[in-house]
Amino acid sequence: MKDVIVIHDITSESEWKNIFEVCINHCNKFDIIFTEDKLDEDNRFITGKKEFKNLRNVTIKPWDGMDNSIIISGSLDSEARKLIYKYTSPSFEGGVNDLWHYNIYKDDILFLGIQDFSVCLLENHAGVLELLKDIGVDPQTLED
Amino acid sequence: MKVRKRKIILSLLAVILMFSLVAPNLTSAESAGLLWKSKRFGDNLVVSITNVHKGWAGPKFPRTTTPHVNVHVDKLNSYNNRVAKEIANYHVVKYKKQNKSCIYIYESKKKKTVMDQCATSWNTLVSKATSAMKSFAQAISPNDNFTLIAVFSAAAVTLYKLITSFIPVYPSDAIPDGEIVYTEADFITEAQPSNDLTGYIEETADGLYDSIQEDVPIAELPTLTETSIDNVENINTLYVSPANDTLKVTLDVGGNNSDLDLDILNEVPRYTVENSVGTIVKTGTMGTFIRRLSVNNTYEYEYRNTVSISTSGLPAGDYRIKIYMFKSIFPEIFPELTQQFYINTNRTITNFSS
Repeated sequence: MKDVIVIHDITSESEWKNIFEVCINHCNKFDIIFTEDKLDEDNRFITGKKEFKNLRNVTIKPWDGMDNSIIISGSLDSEARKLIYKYTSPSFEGGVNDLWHYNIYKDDILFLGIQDFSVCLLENHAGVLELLKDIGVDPQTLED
Repeated sequence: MKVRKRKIILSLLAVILMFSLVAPNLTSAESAGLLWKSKRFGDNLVVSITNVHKGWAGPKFPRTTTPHVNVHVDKLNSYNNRVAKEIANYHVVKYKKQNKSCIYIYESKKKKTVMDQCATSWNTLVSKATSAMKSFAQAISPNDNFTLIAVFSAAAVTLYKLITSFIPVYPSDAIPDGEIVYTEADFITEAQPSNDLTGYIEETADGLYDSIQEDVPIAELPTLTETSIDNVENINTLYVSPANDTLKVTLDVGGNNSDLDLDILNEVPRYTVENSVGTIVKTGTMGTFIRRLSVNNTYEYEYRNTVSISTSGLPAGDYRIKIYMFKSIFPEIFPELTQQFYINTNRTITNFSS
């Protein structure tokens, strides 16, 4: 059994919007990775960095997955949810998600992760499978 | 335009492969996460290369913590310069298999393995990878004259730094000899995973990462003046024959770091001219660099160096000029620093080619 279900390209996955929405509405924690590049509006890799840093009750630490990067963690409250939605939602209609790398969790269980802008990893966990079932998505079809 | 984009993508991959395979461990990683600040090519295409990071990197490495780099090729909106569409998202993994060194490239937009090759020597792999990429590009568009050199020049230093710090990944021993899912034999010489990935996930992600070993120096390259090349982002050369028995060389160097000022103003490039059998028949130094306004404001710091070389003592025939900067020549990184030319019997110089 696989550890994760991989959606290789969210922008071409017809169920992506439903999957994202059911997960983000169910989850209550998040973390997001940004590089330590200088703030530059043309640098897509730090889109939203300032806004996420300014959220209440977030912690900011170095990320061990890449040199000179930070991980911002916090509660997935309505503000954080709106922010993630704002930058991810263009990908529902053929546009792009502008957040490079983030994860959302229910308590401490990882549900959904975005990597490299357009790859989605869904944990092969009973909670995730239950959500997929609720929206009528067969996980077997997602990696085709 | 489509063909041009595809060739740019392929060119970038060729660059990565070239430098991943020939570069020794000389430098540490770039401090920023995004190594190559997005650069534009053609009609609003933008290319970005990330630093090495942990993550999912394709079906062959299904764990979510495989060290890899990404090459993103995106299209910008013309009205706000924001990314409007992702063209390609390449995940590049450098790994070891038994005693072999390998490169795996997976493109997740098209869900295709682009390359997966191993070799006992890096040089062999360089040769295989490069010829594969070139032949693929030619197959797509045999009549397109788009050159790899522009991309090589623009990306070279960043990629060099990136790849020299790029540690290989040791995949699980449980890799099955599954079916080859990508049938381009020129690109794919390693077995690809089947759809059933059972067995791939027996080893923990931590175990995989712990098993990473330091890469060994893989090829002899000249000693680099690291500080200097750090700040060079682009080199352009122009070779012309303004009069009989005269070869004029114009060398432009660009970058955005103010340290380039110190580096370049202390640099006096040298040149050699070799005949058709590789004998050096002429050597000399170029002039001093003069700062100039960057064309189209591409670079904040741009410098020009020109020299006119007399060829009057040389018999007619084929020659090659090589320019040496920063104590070394980097033909792999800046291929335009070497140029072939022909001295005709009427003493004109023609047939410039790299």
